[in-house]
Amino acid sequence: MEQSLDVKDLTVSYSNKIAIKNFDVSVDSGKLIGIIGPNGSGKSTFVKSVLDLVPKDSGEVQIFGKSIDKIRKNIAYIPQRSHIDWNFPILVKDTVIQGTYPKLGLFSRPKEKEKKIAMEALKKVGMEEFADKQIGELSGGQQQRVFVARSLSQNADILFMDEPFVGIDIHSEEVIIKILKELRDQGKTLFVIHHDLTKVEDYFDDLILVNGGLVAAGPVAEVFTPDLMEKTFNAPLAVLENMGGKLS
Amino acid sequence: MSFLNDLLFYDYLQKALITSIMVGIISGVIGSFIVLRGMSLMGDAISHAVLPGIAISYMLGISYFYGAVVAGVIAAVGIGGISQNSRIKTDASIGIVFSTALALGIILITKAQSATDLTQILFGNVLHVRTSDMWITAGVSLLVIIIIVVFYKELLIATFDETMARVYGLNTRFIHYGLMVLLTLVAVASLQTVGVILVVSLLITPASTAYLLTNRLSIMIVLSSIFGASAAVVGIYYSYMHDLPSGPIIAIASAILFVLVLIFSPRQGVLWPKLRKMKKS
Ligand SMILES: Nc1ncnc2c1ncn2[C@@H]1O[C@H](COP(=O)(O)OP(=O)(O)OP(=O)(O)O)[C@@H](O)[C@H]1O
Ligand SMILES: [Mg+2]
Repeated sequence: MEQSLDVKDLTVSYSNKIAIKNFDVSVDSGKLIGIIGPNGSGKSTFVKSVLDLVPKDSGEVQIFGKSIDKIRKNIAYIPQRSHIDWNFPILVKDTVIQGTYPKLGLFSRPKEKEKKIAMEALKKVGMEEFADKQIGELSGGQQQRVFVARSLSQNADILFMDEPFVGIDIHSEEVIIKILKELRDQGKTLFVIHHDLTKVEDYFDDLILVNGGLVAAGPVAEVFTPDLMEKTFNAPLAVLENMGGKLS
Repeated sequence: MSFLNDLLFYDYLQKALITSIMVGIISGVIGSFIVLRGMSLMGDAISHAVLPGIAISYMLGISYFYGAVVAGVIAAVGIGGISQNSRIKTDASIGIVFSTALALGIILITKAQSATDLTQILFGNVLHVRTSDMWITAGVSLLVIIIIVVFYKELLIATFDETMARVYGLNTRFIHYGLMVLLTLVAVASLQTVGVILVVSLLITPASTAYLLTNRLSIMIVLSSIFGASAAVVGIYYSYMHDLPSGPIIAIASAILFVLVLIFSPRQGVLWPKLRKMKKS
């Protein structure tokens, strides 16, 4: 199977404090992958350095066997909700159209075709009736669905999401995970930073376990074990409770 | 209507009017991005930072335009450099650069004994606009409007979601400094009309007023330009009729409009929610 992401010996630090160290991982394409780890373990840092948003101290990253710069337009990224200014003067439909920007390139503007793509994406997440609302007028879950729609209209082969399910309603979560699974079935590769261990087995094919570096990576069946969870979270009891007793 | 009458007869009054309308429009355009990017203080800093550049231009006997632009860009780079390479936060580095530049500018201008006196540079005197100033303003306006129209989509995404912009390959740092250069040009163009001290009012107040009225960036930019131009016209009128400096009047006119909108705006106004509550109870 083709490698979607190949990371070799990645080390990243912020003003002398090492956030992740000697990270090695490679992932097949066409998978829905959970990136799991405790607070401050370097999950966001891992994704950001893969996307070249923070500088690497050392290491190499390839996506589909190419350097990131060759493949950028094919990468969708959904930021943490807290990173967006929800008072920004922009409507839902205009936010979703932004997904078409990367492939439009400089100088061309979204036209009817792009508007249609955006409306279809909105329909897919069940938000078409909110098209003319300002983004701040939506609930957290609706906002997250709008950003998923934006990635849909980008039609990228690889997608990264930072904690998409934090603070959103259960219906939105179900809509989003269903779409993510559909995208996976179409052959896309999706990386999702995730906190809540209860849903791990339902949601993901593979896991990347992070704690200041790679703890383990592989199919859920192989790495979602009490042993590795303990190693990832340094907190056996709390973790086992969190896992809904499935592993005990 | 002696103002309209005089407008027909006096060439300098026409120049003042045309220049200040252009200044109002471009300040509104650039101001919209400045406000949304949370860089209002940066606008203030850069407009003050052009002062030493102007003084040095006088000393060298070149057009004030060049010195001002160079000084503005140095200030933008300096502010970015201090906050990126040290633990100093942006607002503090803006404060350092801006007060230093203003101080240096005042000293240099006093020393240079320049033809234009300090008060005029600081507070604006739109009735002294020369033909060359008008053409500089026209050139800057054309450039600003073309760039904003052509790169609207890139400016929008880099302002709204910088991370997505970077992920798909936009050079957001270049966009930032590009905007700083435009901001400097606009500040220089507004000098005659509003003066160094109050450039920021024309940048920030009309854009903030527009921000209260709309949910779309494109409309915000248009409204902001209209408000800026209107304030500038009011400034000219009072400046001419009552012999007052134009800058402060423009600033006050923008502020009055802002307060009215803040109170009465149907979406964001402070009045309607209160009235609705009263009706309910
Ligand atoms: N911009 C930054 N400057 C300095 N230190 C940072 C910065 N961003 C993250 N860190 C530090 O790097 C480490 C890893 O942070 P990161 O955000 O990657 O963790 P995370 O796993 O995403 O955590 P969370 O679950 O809280 O989102 C943490 O110790 C954090 O304090
Ligand atoms: Mg994080």
